[in-house]
Amino acid sequence: MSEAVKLSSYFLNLYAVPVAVVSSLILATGLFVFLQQKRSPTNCSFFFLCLCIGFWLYGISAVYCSRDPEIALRWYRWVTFLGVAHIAPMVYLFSVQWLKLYENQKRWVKGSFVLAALFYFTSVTTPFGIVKMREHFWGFYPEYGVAGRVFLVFFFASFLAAFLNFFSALRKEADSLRKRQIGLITVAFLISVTGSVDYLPKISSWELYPFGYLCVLSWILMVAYSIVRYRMMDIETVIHKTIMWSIVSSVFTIPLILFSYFGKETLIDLQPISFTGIVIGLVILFGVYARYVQPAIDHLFQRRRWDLLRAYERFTDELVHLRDLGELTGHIVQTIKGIFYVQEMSLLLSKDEKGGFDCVKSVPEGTRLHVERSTAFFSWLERNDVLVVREYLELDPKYELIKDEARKYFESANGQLCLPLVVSGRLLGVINIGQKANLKPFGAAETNFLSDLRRTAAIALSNSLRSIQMQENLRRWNVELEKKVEERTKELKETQAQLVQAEKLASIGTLAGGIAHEINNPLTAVLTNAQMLKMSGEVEDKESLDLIEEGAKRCKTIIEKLMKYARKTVEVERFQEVDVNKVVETVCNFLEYQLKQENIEVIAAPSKVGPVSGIANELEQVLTNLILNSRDAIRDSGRKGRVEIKTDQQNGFVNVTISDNGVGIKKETLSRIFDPFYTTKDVGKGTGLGLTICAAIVEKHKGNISAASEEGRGASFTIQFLATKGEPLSGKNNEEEDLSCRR
Amino acid sequence: MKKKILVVDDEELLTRTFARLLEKRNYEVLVASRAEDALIMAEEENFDLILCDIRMPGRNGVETIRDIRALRERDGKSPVPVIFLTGFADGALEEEAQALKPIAYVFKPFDTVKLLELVESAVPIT
Repeated sequence: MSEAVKLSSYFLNLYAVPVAVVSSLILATGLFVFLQQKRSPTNCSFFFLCLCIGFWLYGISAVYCSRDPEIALRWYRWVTFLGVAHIAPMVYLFSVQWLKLYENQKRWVKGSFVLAALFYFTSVTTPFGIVKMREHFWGFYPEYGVAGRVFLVFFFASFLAAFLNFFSALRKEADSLRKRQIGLITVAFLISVTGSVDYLPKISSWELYPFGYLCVLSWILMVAYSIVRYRMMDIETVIHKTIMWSIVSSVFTIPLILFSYFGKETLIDLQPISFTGIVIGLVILFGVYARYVQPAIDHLFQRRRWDLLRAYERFTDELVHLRDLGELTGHIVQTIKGIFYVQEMSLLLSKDEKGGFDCVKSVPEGTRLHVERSTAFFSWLERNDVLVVREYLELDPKYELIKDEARKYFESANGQLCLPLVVSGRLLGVINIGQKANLKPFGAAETNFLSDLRRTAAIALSNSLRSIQMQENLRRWNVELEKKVEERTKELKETQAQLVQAEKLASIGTLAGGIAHEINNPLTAVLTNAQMLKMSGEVEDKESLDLIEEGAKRCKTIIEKLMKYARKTVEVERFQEVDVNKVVETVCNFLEYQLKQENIEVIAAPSKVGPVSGIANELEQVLTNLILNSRDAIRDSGRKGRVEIKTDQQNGFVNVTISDNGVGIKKETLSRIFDPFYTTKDVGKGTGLGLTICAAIVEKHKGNISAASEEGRGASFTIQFLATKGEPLSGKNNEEEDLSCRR
Repeated sequence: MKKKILVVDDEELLTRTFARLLEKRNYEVLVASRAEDALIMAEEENFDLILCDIRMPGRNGVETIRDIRALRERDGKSPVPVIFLTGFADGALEEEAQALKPIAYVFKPFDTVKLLELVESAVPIT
């Protein structure tokens, strides 16, 4: 045992080197795949498979390098066979995991592992598994015993089971992409089976170099590719670059090694100067290779990627000059179409925050497509902001939740790729890309390019949309502003008209007041002298004196009214708290008799109202005036009359409404009824000052008077005063007074 | 001896009317159309009653009466009774006028009979 750990027990066997290198490669690949998705059972079982292969190949390298057959045998039994024994059940497990058959075949899987363990145990403890080491030109190689031959049956049986699994899955699979993937793995298996040529020298004395590890390498790479390709990794580039590098490097290194091996005696005999010259020449050659040849090869291989980079630069350069949305979308679509030769494409945009998405540009033109913002797939795109490839929907668990929605969407859009355009967490739109003209799938470099392109495109589109939005806002604000200006102008004109009217009325008032004052003194002289003559009895024609007196008295009334209108009241009264209901009651009592004579019913309907600040006499005058106007209107209508006086309080205002069923007021007259000297009554019957004075009094009380009428059916006047207190003053007990007023 | 009444008004139509009316009732009537004239007259004569207009050009009726009373007080005479006459109401001025305790505050045009009653009750004819 101690011999096994001594370095002198080993020598550098060149045949062991490629085996060890391949072993390292396979282990690295296994680890790489495992790290892509640590939790996936497929990836895990693949990793363990690679680990077993690692044991096998590292073990065999150690066997090749051993000087002593005993040590070689020990290496093989303990290490190499540990790997070899478990490769078959691992392959079987991998097939089961990959095809999701574990639940159905788990007993077989477990059984195969138990058997593998048993074989391993047998090989370690007994000589029936591996009998002894035979020496071949490539080094020591084992000879299998009885148990070893039985093991081979188990080995092939396991492989067959795995192969059958793949084959039946391949036949059943409907999805073209998945079928392609399984197909690739099945082919890889067929290749790997050729690796079992390694067993031939183990069971016979045939001098066949065990090159199986090369088959296994290609198989592992193919499986890894198949797994990773559909996980969007750039493994293609890695594999291609590695292969290219190995080939190109061998072009230089192999002749160099051959030269140094066969010409070593010539080299030793060389003069130091010549030797130095050759070394310098080689160094320069290597420098040239590293500086120019390798990058050129890289570039040749990576040309596609380089082209994409150039295309991306051109795209962004041109983007800067485009403002118009139509040009911008056209540029995006044309760029993608020009690079990938896609047959179908559509660009969907949402014009506002909440609306759905509509197709704005497409190849071929005229595609109609509308998608609501609320669809699950689009919400998912907005949240995740990732490019989605249709092929991966079935394979990648991250699409599990939206798989069905997304599949439907891809069908409706007829696309292979979906590029969400997201800016600041908001989905602006989506670019759908259909199949390429050559029907090839999109490579990792291409999807990366598209992912970069979509970000730039999204920002450009966002800016363009924002500018459109701003223009639209500006236009709308302009329209609103114009409308407002128009409204204000109209209001201003109305106010101006009212002002002019008020001014006119005020001038008339002032004028009338002045005239009244001027006339007052002469009129006093006329009246006093007439009365004086009457008293003296000196004049015989007493009737003439009476007429003079009556005329003068009527003038006196007119003057008093005019003065009131001009607010030069003849009597001075103080503002006091007045109960409007009391005013109504007084007026009703005063007029009841007169109106009853004319067959007119007066109905007072007071309700609880607060006090108002005013002059009771004046308010009585207003009410009297309005009721008498009603009487005149009813008299003209010739029907049975009815005058209703209501009071109520709303929002701090006390309202008094007087309505009648008289002839009403003509529409064209209604606006002029409060003008001074405007009357519809016969000459000599009305002064045209009654309502003018009412309005003046109400205005003095800081109140408001308004009239409404339906011609032929009656009129109603509403007077509104500001209540001095919020709470109504008079209450229920008014009901009785109400009844007393009812005639 | 006739009772003397002073009529103060800027309106000649009225002073003449008052003069006729009161003279017929056997009063001696003196007329002033300006506050200054009234003051001079009141200083010279001893009036039993003054009928005074409130609103006049220059000094108004209330000021005029106040001046006359002040003059009489200086001379140790009793304040003369007054009846104010006015064409229209003026709150502030009316308050001042009422402070002078007039016999009446009469609005023009007035009822002649009622006015005569007022005058006669204030200055009975001897």
